[in-house]
Amino acid sequence: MTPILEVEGLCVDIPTPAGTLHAVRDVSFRVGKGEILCIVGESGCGKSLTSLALMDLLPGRARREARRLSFAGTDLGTLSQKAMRNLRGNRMAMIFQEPMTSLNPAFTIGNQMAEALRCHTRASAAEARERAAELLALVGVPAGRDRLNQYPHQLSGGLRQRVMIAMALMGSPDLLIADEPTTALDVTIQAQILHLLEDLRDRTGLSIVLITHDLGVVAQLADRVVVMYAGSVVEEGPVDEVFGRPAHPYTRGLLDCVPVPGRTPPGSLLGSIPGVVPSLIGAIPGCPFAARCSFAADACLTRQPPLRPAPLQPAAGHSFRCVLEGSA
Amino acid sequence: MLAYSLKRLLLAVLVAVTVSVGSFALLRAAGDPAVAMAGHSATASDIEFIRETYGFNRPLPVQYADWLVKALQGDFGESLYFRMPVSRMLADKLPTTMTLGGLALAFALCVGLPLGIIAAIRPNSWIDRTALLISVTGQAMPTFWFALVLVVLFSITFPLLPPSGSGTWKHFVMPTVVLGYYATPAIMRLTRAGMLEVLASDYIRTARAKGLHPAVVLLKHALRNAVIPVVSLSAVQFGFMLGGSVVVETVFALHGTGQLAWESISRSDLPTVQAIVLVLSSFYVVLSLIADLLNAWLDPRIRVA
Amino acid sequence: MTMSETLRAPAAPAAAAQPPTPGQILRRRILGHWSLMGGLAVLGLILLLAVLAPFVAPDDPYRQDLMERLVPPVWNAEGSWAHPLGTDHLGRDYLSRLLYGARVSLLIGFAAALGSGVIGTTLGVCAGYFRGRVDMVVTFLVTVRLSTPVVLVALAVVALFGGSLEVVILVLSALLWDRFAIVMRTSTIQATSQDYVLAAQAVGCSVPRIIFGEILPNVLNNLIIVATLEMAHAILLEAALSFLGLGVQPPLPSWGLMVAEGRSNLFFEPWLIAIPGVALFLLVLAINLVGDGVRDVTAPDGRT
Repeated sequence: MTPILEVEGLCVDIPTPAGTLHAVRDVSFRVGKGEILCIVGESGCGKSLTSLALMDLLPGRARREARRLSFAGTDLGTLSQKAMRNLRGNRMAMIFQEPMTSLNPAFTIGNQMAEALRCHTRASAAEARERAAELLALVGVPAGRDRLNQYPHQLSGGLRQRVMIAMALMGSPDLLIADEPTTALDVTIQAQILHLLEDLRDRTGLSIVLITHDLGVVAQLADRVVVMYAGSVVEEGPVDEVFGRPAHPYTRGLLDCVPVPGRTPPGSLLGSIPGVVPSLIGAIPGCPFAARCSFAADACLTRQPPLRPAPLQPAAGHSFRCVLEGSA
Repeated sequence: MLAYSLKRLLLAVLVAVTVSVGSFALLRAAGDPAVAMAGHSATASDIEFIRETYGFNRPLPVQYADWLVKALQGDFGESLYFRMPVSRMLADKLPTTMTLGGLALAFALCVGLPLGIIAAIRPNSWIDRTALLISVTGQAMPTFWFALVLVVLFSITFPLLPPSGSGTWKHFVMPTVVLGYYATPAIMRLTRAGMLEVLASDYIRTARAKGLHPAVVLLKHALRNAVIPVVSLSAVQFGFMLGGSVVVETVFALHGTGQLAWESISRSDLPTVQAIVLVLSSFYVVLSLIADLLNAWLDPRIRVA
Repeated sequence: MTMSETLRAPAAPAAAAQPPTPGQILRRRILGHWSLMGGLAVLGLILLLAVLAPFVAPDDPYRQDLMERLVPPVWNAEGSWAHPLGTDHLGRDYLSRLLYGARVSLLIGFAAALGSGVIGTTLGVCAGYFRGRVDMVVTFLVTVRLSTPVVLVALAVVALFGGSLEVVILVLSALLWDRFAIVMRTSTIQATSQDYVLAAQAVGCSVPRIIFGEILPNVLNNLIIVATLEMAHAILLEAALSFLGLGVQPPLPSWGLMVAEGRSNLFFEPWLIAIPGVALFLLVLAINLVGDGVRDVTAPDGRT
């Protein structure tokens, strides 16, 4: 599959009074055309900052660095602000966690959707509204045309997230980055939104990077999965491989925390991972997971192993970052 | 929106009535108006005659109702000192004060809005620090003293502007700056705080994610939301400035209601003082009503409920 | 478990340093806040000079010497150290009048802030704690208060009842309570919704016990901030009233009155208005800086 997005050695640093916070540490992954890649991890593991870094939307003080950041053959690292703006919202779009606050309360849905198209193309106001109405229908907003004149506060959270998705699609993007798009929604609405994303991929060949902490979402939707811990990738690969044969102790710990219908025996205790995530300020000498890992050896405290292919299915592109031999 | 407007209107009427009772009671508490009107050389029978003629012997609520009804018709009685209808004096002086208030508000907005916006975009930059300095000194400078400093500078050291009087636009320059500078810090601080809050909001991130030009993000998406509280603050500040113009008008001998108020207060001209207090309070009530309705109208969450 | 215990220490070097206590953080914030420290220093100096005025003043502030009228300050060519800041139009020593004037300003500032603070805080806390009808009445009172033009009404009242210190203090107390009420109402509403207040209510603490024991300590920083603002406001208003001849009456030395008296000599003796004006500016500036500083250092995410 030709990659639409290639990320190599992405770092995000945030200067703080206590020292530099390395929020994202040397993260690499690829997203193929029409592929859904899930980035999964606990809160604070850097997955949201990774997504914002891709869009060059990092908050003020945060700094981005990467060895390679390529989108559809364009090097994002050397792109001017203006050229980046032309890509944003046009060929790569993003939706966010909080649909309740992500739309501007002062303007109508139609206004906000239309400007997403009109700032990139010469479309007339009427054409932009027409496309907005079509897209609202596509994402399943009932009576879409009437909604164009409504204000965000008149819509429910689920509808607002659909509007956000429709708005992201205004420029016919090749890549959609979705940062926990269902976390703030009710469970039934969550499922609808996820179905919608999958459906969009199937119909339009959209590539999707989905940030989530919900392993159920990953299992349902992802083609490939990237597991992040303390700013680093600890394991990545096809979702069946990673979930079926987790190689990193952290991934295994995560999977043990979730009940799997049909696999977890009724009444058995779910797992938990003891300890807390290490501070991300300054360098972490060894493996960041060592302090919480029940298999940690002395070597784990001094040296972080490189990402290496998982032993069982090396051809599947399944790799992990641990000194153990994987597959317990 | 309609229910809200009606409720707000009712509140305004209640406030206006309360203020009118207050200003009536306050000046009656000061002493017998008949004595004040009769003057120093009056005999007891003179005072009794005045009391009869003007109805000061009737019960207070009746006198209040009488005064209020007349006031609503624009009849505030006759000035004790100037010996002419108070309403005519007010009609004469109000335009000057309104002009001064309007110019001062315009000045405050012209300085406060841009500085507040830039200070919010670049917090802790030198512009932010300058804005902070302007606001801190503006709040600490006594208006009358600032006025005199300007007179020393621009009328005495560099004779560019007339130190007192009204008539030409030049007479309004220094009063406008003094009164406007007084209102600037509040507007600037609110703009800065509003912009900082809005710029950190999720919908600004959405706007940037759409690839909008930074100027559009700032002027359309951020300013529109940040400016809502500033609009109502401006209306309220305008009301404050009408009341606060006493000092400025007195220093610059600008013939407006402020100077008239000071003159009638120092001469115990009660009907005039009462009328001015009532008129200025009513202005404030109306302005804050407008401010609240404007606020509601600017915010779709209230307008399209 | 022992393994992860032993491993945690090297893995998390930040935990090795003892975290500072809240008191230490606050002290560090206060000491590092230069404008707060500057404000406190100036305010303290003025306060000290005002209290010690009888001892530090070179002369009696009321003694007139018509032979020594309008002597310029010492930095002027004709000035002398006999009158470091010169004399006024009645030959009174300007430095002495300035020092005694500080007493008037500070007294009125403190007293008016205290008076309006008691009124406003009572109203605001009651409105915020009891809500409902009490809240409606207080909000209405605040609206009425805001609709009254302060300077005008103060002028009128002083004109009617005479310009004494007591009258000025009472008038200002009665006119400046609105901000106390508004801020205390909001702070009380926020504090009341906190779990510790709910807990106190749940275990059946009395209302005064909750208000004085749980709510007031937690809104104290806001109270101090508003008090400084209103103190500055009162001092400026007193000066304005006195300047207009309807505040503190002569021969009492008020800075506003001194500016008014110097105004007729604006052309040739500008220092007559410059000195009391600068004094007023510095005092009010110092008080505002203290207020802003308190806001900064007590804010959860301080500006500095």
